[in-house]
Amino acid sequence: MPEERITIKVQRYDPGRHEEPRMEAYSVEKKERMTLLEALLNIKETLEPGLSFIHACKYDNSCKLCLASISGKVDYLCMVEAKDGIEVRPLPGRDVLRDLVVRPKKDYGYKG
Amino acid sequence: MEKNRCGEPIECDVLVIGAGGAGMRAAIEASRRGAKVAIADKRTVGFGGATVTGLYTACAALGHTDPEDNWEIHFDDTLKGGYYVNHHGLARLFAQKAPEAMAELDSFGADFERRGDKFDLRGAPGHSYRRSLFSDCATGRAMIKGLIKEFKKHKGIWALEYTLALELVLDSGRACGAICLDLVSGKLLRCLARAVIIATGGATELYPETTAPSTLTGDGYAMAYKAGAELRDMEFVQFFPVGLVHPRGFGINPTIGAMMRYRTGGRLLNRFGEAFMPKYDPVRGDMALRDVLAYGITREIMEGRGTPRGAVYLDLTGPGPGALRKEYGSYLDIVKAGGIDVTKEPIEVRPMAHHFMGGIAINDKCETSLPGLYAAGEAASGLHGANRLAGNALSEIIVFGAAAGAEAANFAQMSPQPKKGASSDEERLWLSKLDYLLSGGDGGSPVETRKELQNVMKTFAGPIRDGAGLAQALNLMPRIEGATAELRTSSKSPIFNMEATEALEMENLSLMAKIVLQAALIREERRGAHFRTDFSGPDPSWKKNIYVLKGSSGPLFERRRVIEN
Repeated sequence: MPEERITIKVQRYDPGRHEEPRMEAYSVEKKERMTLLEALLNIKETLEPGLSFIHACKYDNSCKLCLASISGKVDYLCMVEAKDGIEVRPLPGRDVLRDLVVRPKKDYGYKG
Repeated sequence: MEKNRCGEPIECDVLVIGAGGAGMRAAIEASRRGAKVAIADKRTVGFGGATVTGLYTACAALGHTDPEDNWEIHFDDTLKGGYYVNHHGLARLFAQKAPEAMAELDSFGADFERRGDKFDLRGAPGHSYRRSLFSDCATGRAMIKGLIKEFKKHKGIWALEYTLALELVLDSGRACGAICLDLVSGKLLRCLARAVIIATGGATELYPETTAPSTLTGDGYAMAYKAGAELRDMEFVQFFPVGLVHPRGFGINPTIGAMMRYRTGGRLLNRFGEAFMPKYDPVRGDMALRDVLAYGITREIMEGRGTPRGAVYLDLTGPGPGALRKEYGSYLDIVKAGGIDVTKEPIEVRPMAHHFMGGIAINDKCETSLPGLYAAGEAASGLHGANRLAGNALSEIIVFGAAAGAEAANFAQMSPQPKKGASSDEERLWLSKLDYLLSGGDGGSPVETRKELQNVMKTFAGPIRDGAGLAQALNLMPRIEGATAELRTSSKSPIFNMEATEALEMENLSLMAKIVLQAALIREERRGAHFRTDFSGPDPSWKKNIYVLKGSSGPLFERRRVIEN
């Protein structure tokens, strides 16, 4: 049975190379109930190792670090199913450092 | 020196590396004792490690539910669970201090479940009495909440978030800080301190399937080892027996099956519907300890009695929907929204890498073998012996976090300030290394190299091992090490270059893989989580620990008697 593939669009920005962010499309093999986080990790592994986004806990949405703008709505990468045509951008209104990584808000402040 | 590539040096009394449960508790304690504290984490304070993902049990012999319980029984249970290669001093300190440590954490704001004015304590496998604290179905989150509340009161603590520690700084053989990478700017940061605490968790990322975060890449083990501190018990890796395989859910903790079967019961069945655990543990059956469960489930799958997905069934439906609703309340809805209805169908589970019993060798003051260096939590070793009991991790991080913080603060007070800018050679070396990493070109992908290593570890160093397989895995390591040395990032910019940090993590992982494999090869017996099919056991002559020390041409391994005083 041929594998089903879906297309995911991700906003890319390399501070060393790009003047402006731009959208890139990636094709991934669809798996049963695949989260967007898993899809992006798959893209990293198979297509684009430089794709950058913050993650840690992987599964249970306890780390709260993988927030992004997903097809126009703010949500966690780990809580959204990867579907064909989905578009992922960094959190709106924040300073974009690279790809989906925005400048972290320092809760405690670095003293020095 | 390239000023624009290095941040302003930081000076403090105590540097804590890793801001999970143990690290945060250490920082709080050191601060309480008047130390100037800096705490670094490659993610954020509280949320980047395993603590916040802890689902359920946190054990302490408070005696609130079973008055017969006391610390001595908890101590005995811990030793028995660890197959008697635990460090007795650590086990004693842990059992003695856990009740007051957890009660204090509750007062910080963790808010564990209560019955009246006493804690509601539950049972867990291997614990003779009910002594597990919990908070709904998210004990780890509750603990982090309490720690953050208390942490915020200590406004003098410098929190260095998104800061990856690279190497310990030594001065006359004493640990006096670390060179770190500020992920946001890509600059190096020299942190000088009078004492250092490593609380960086384990190295579960050595395996492809884990219950733990992607951040656990053994950074602290590697740093301590390279600085000359001893590691211990590296062969003992805990595989969580019932890691969730199917149905896949959104926002569902992969350890959900264990929490539910401890609380409301569950039956493990193979593809033929047989309850197989009594075969492997006639006394405990389904309530066998984690090492025996991992072994039994792995055997069933390996011998063709697993499900088509390569798992076994865990049937949690027994009590019926009413009783399950009563126990779990709205958690069932969260789980259902995520895609799993545990009241209707069995789930499929298999062992997944979960916890490292081994790590940096410490004594009961959390001192490592390197003066000025302390370790606590999963990064340290000795408490759990060959197999950790459920519930002992979430409470030990608080006991040892506090102990390490106190001891490090005392040591700092008695120690001179390290020489400022002792050496800029280290920084130059790291800048060259970063230059190479960021030089572009076809170096291969860190994520792909990590996957390759993970497959080797899963195949040869999972719950069931043998000498031939371990030796074969070691023969595969030079290729992986070679690939690791050639990693280069696709972007040349240092700004939040995650690929660069993944390449650095890959170095730590490949170093730790070799050490785990070699230690597993040396221990010629089966004991706890280390199941060698080519040897029987436990073997009384192997009532020892394997220590690891950096030699001139690689790791040196030494068997030493178990510390029983």
